[in-house]
Amino acid sequence: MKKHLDTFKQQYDAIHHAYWNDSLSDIALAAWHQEKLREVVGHVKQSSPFYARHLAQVDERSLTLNDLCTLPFTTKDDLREAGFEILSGPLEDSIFYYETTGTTGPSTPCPRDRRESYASNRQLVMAYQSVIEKHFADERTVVGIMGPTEVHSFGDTLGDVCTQLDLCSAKIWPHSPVIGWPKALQLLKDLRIGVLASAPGLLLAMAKEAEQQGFNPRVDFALRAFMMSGELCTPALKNNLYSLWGAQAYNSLYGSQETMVIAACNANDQLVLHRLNYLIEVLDPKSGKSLGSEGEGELCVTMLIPGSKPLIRYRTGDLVSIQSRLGCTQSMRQTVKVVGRIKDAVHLNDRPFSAAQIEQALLEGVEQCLGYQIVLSRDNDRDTVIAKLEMSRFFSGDCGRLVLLIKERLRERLGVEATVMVVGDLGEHVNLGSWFSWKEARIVDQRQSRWGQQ
Amino acid sequence: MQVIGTASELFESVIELRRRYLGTNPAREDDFDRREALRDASSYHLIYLDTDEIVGTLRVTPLGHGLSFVERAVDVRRYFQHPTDAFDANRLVLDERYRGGKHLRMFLLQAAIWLKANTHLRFISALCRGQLAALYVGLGGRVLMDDVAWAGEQAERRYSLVYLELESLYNNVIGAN
Repeated sequence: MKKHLDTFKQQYDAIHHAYWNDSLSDIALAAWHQEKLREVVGHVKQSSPFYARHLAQVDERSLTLNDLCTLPFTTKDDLREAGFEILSGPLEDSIFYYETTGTTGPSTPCPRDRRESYASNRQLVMAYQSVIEKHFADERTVVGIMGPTEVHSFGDTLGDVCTQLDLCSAKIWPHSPVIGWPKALQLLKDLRIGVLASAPGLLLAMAKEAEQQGFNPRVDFALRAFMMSGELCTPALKNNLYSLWGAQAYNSLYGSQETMVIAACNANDQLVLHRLNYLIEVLDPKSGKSLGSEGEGELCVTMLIPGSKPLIRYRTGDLVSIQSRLGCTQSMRQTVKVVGRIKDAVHLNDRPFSAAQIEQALLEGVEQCLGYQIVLSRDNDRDTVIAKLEMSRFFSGDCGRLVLLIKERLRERLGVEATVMVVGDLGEHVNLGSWFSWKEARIVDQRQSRWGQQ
Repeated sequence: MQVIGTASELFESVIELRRRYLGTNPAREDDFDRREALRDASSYHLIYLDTDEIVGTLRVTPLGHGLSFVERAVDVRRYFQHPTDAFDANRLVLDERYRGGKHLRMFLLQAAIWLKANTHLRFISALCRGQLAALYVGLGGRVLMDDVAWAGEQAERRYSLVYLELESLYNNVIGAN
């Protein structure tokens, strides 16, 4: 298998280099896309029992990029039903076995072979390099890695990224039975970790833990940048994280266990699409009609690296906004904003709101907040909101004014009557559950209960 | 005085104090355990302490969300134009050893100070009976409805609906002290 990687790298490194130094023309990129589309469709038809059936009618030898939208979608339900039959080759040919977290159904297998792991991590290497050069121009630093579970790619991926960049990394997952919060925080301090890879919710939970252990997060640590993944982080939450930690938060990557790294950040905290590894489509989320490779809608990707589990026209379920930027280099040409998951949309008085809209309305301008939870109720045939905020002991603002301001903003932006409460004891799951589902962690919906029918 | 949530280790003492003086389901509400859990989770719990012992409690439940008992018994929108600017004061309990002196007024004064500083809630409803209604009236409250009937699972109970403003409660308690 290592031989396969060497052959793959010869081809991939050359185009990756051209892509990043902007010597790859649009025509050459399109040629790469067409070649890889044919290769990957042939690969999955030959190696995956699921795709042998699913794409039986497709002749990959004559496929063009224009034919992409005629191929059938692969859905999350397909992945659940197919299980290991989706894999393009025996598990033993992979180098890693991961699973999805399984919050919305059974976990699905996500093994990776050397080629797809290498290609996926290359984009992230570029992101980490740019952020570290920005914050540590002439210095060395240590990268802390806080990932969610042992069958998640987070730790391996970021370990590899750091190795490629010749950076020291420390895996300090606080929920590991041999680490725990006190040791994780002590390591964070003692190792003078400068960059921490984690999820926004975990960073909020960590600030709370640090305060409980007598630390001042802004003063007692050496953090300069957070490389976040796992859930959305709005500008408001980034600002709040800065107020808590004094470190700049980046949405470091967008992707998933199934799809790997679809986009990674640049030094300006924009997510740029990894167009060497994917064919990107934006779909009308209701009809599934392809709207092209930019605009707003549901993201659909075709993975171009012929590894253990490439997916063809996979509907991610994520709402995105993709912008093409003429005049930018090839690698920076397309940026993506992740609006939220379709399943995370919340309807308030018959108007749909994304998770990002709700979080931004709640937290805009809010500093020193350690977490939030939203309770949805219904009274007098109108949806209402109780928003609970837990504030840091370093918050020195006017609490009464803050809650009134948020209440008015929720009315204005979301069209709901609200009570905003500052509380002292939000449960840990409110922050930590966000690795798996923003909605399940942060929304308590009482509207469907008998309560609401009184 | 302190403000706690249901996750606090002190909350069990709050429940015990309520149980001792109010019983577990004073209005004999249906589906009580679930309703009460929701109310507790969405309320402020103000506690009055003598050293480390909880000797008084008050639950502050926001109005306008259909959560509170008063919203089941009365159409509060007739009296509160913007219910989410108001809260229901309920489950007020003071240990019998602390009654008759200044403790209740001190507790309410500290509660008013905290609520003024930390919330946007400015108006108060209290659905209560007998002495408590008289107490609230003595602190500037106004009886909006007398004889509010609530047919619980076993027996009918009658209440008065009292309206207060946080600012006037604060001024009245301060004046009385």
